[in-house]
Amino acid sequence: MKLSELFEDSSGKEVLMSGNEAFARGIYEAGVRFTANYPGTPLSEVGDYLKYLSDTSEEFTFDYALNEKVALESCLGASWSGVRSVVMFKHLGLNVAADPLHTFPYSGVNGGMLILCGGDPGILSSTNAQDNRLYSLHTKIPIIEPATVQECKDFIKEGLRVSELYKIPIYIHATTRLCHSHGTVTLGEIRKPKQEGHFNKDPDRFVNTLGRALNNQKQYFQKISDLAKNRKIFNLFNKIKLWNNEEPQSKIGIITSGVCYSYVLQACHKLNINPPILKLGLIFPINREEICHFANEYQLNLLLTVEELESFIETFSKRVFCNYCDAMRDLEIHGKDYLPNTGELNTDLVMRFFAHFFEVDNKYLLEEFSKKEESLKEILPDLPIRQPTFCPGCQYRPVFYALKHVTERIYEEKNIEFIYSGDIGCYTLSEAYPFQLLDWVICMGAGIGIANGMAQTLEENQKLIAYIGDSTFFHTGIQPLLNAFKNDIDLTVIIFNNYWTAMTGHQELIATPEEFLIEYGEYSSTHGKSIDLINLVSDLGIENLVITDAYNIEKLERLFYETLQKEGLKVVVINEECALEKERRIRREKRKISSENQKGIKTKKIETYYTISDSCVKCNECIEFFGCPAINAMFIEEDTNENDNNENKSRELKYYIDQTMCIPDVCPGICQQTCPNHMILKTIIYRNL
Amino acid sequence: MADIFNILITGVGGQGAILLGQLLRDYGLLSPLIKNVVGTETRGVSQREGSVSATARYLIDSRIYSLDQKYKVDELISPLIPMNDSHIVLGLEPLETIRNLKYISEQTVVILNTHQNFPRNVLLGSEQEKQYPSIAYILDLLNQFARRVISMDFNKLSQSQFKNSIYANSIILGAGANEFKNVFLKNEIIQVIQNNLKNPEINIKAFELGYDLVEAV
Repeated sequence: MKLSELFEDSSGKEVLMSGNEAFARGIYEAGVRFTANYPGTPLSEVGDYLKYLSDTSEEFTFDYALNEKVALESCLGASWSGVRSVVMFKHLGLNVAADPLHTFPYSGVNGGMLILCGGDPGILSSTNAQDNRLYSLHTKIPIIEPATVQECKDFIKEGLRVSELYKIPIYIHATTRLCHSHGTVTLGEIRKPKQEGHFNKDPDRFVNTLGRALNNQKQYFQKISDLAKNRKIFNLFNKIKLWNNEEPQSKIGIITSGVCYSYVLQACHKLNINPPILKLGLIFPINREEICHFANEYQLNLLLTVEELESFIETFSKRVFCNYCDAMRDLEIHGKDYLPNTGELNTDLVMRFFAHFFEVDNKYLLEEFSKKEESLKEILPDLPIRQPTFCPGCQYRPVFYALKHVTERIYEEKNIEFIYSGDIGCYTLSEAYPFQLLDWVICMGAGIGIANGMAQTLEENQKLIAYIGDSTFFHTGIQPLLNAFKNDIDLTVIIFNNYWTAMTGHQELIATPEEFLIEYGEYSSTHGKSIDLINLVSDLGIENLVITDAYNIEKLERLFYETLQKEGLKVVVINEECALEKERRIRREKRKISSENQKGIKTKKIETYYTISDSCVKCNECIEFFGCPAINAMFIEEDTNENDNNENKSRELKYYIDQTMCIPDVCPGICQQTCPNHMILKTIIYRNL
Repeated sequence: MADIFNILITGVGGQGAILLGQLLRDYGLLSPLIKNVVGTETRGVSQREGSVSATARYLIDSRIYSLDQKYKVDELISPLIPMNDSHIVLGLEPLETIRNLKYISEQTVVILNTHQNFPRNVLLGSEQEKQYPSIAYILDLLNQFARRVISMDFNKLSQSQFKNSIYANSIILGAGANEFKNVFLKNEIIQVIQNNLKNPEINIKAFELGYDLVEAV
């Protein structure tokens, strides 16, 4: 969907959008004034959409904050001044923001405030699957969870209303599957944001010192228990699904929430069963009376809870029926004793769970499943996987290529083994083939952090190298580096300064130079001031500070060889813009030039190509050890009849450079430097236009 | 009550699976036959040269057109296709198509582009011992599970007809649309192509080529 359409003023129109688009649209419709974000999958795109909105509207502010804690705190500040605010980040970001999260709810909010937080039960693009719903056990923050794309939009608006009603923050739980799914949404009216805030001083409420904090805590807890008892709010977010007013066939009820509700529905359809389903939108706090009422109403003797990861709804349900619902004390409850507590759920898993309890006439379906799974077990593991790797022309590839050579050389010469302390960013891909230069990845900033301790305790012939990218450095990398500096530990830190938050989709950050953003035109209007990372690091006065560009393998090898053998703290800054983003910028520029050409301005066009010579001896250096995806190989078959079952036909491997992938405008043919036989050729064509 | 029609698109990052999914979901919104549409796609690290899949699911009123399904629904919201339930699989790459065998059953029609994209770690390096299965083996497997398999090197066809292999997906779409004429209305699909794709004229020609292709097979 085009960004201009996403923020179109056309109430009542039905459109298709993704969960992330619906969140952004909801924020726009709700009249939110202030938003902040640190990018992270699955919610990265929401920030990108809002960035566009803030660039095109003066009434709305969006900020790529330095980290999640700053993002949350700045949204809190905006809310305290009386305007609506939404902060968004991935589930792991909440750990960074957990410090204010445990205290500020005592003081509450003024303008409605939402914490829109991703979740990744399948660990599709994260380092863990932590179930953030459990945060509400010690922060008591109410959690709402949308189940459909339409609800993604609606719950933003309703959540803000409830937040303002009780003056408390509301948490929105959004898992990968929902953020990236698409569905129909009816657009609503757009509310104009309140522009100017005003802060009313109230030390008793905002200064959480001893006596006051305790008092505020009591008031906050009271608000939560009031909210829990509010029937209207229960009905606003929660829904009981019945089946065309049919009598349920059994006395089994189901409680579920979020995207799991869609699996439950589908499983019921497939098994042809019609149990009453309580779909929770507000999953914390739980309204005891309404839950008991649900069980009473349908005279349930069995309750099944369907949720991903931890047994959150299940535990709460058990507590309710055991402690507060006398008539229902014997109600049997099942959930995580049958469903897995790792990974995403799906319809098939839910069907199998239900089949244990329901009388179903089409059990053959499940037998088919098992049979099929058995046969797939024999086939699928033998299929080759496709490993992720650095982009074609990536500026990190020569760095790791050189680093691998140098560390192997030092190992041979001096018997020093290098340990690689990884962090979160594109450079994490150094773990994969062909470099395998990564020994661990934990969380943002942990690369230098873990190295801090290990460097002081390692034996002599093991040495540490820690990686960090510029966005991660400004996120949580500065403190561990300063700590390493303070103690002057024996450690080499490689800072990859590529000027963008690249892996999540090239969001700008404080290290992005302003001139890079000018080509966006109006897009860049909200970019703030920039910091040159090199100046910042230089100011520390680190003795062994090396600053280098990336596209020169010989230079990199020389610098690494010298630096890695020195004692104490060494910092190597790889100063090269992300090749992918740079290539896009150059392409945009070229397009501008070619449109000027059409207006009659004549210029020369220079085109560069890299090709592999026919005399290539297939030493494999470029393709196997350098591994740029633009260098590829294909089988040339003598017999081209593909339906021919003859396994013996002769196949010859031919190496070539895929011109659709190669980016000669950015990468100066770094593959040429790797070819020992000089078989990679450069062709330059000058054209007069 | 209603039926669900399930479309699965499989391929390698950069092949256009995501775009094809978006196109088919847009068709779902536009088509008068379809009451509701949902879908999803893989994102994140798998986008570049990795395994990619996209889904589009249509809710179709049984009174308009019954798919003769084993079960009926009254609401459609799950973006994921359950095991065995795909009606049509647009396989843009052979290996990625058999990776999704879970969704292919006796009700499935597979349109397979036999043009292989070899993972480089198969050609050389870490996964070399895992061979890319032969096309004959892949077709054999698909025929074993699916109702019907239409396979050909669509890249080659596109190259010979339009001097560029990038129209292969439109040909595949045409071939798929012909298989389920009751679900895919030709005029509406052409309209969606016009709205979504660059070079719509050639893409529509490619779509028509695919549409007529199946008749000939």
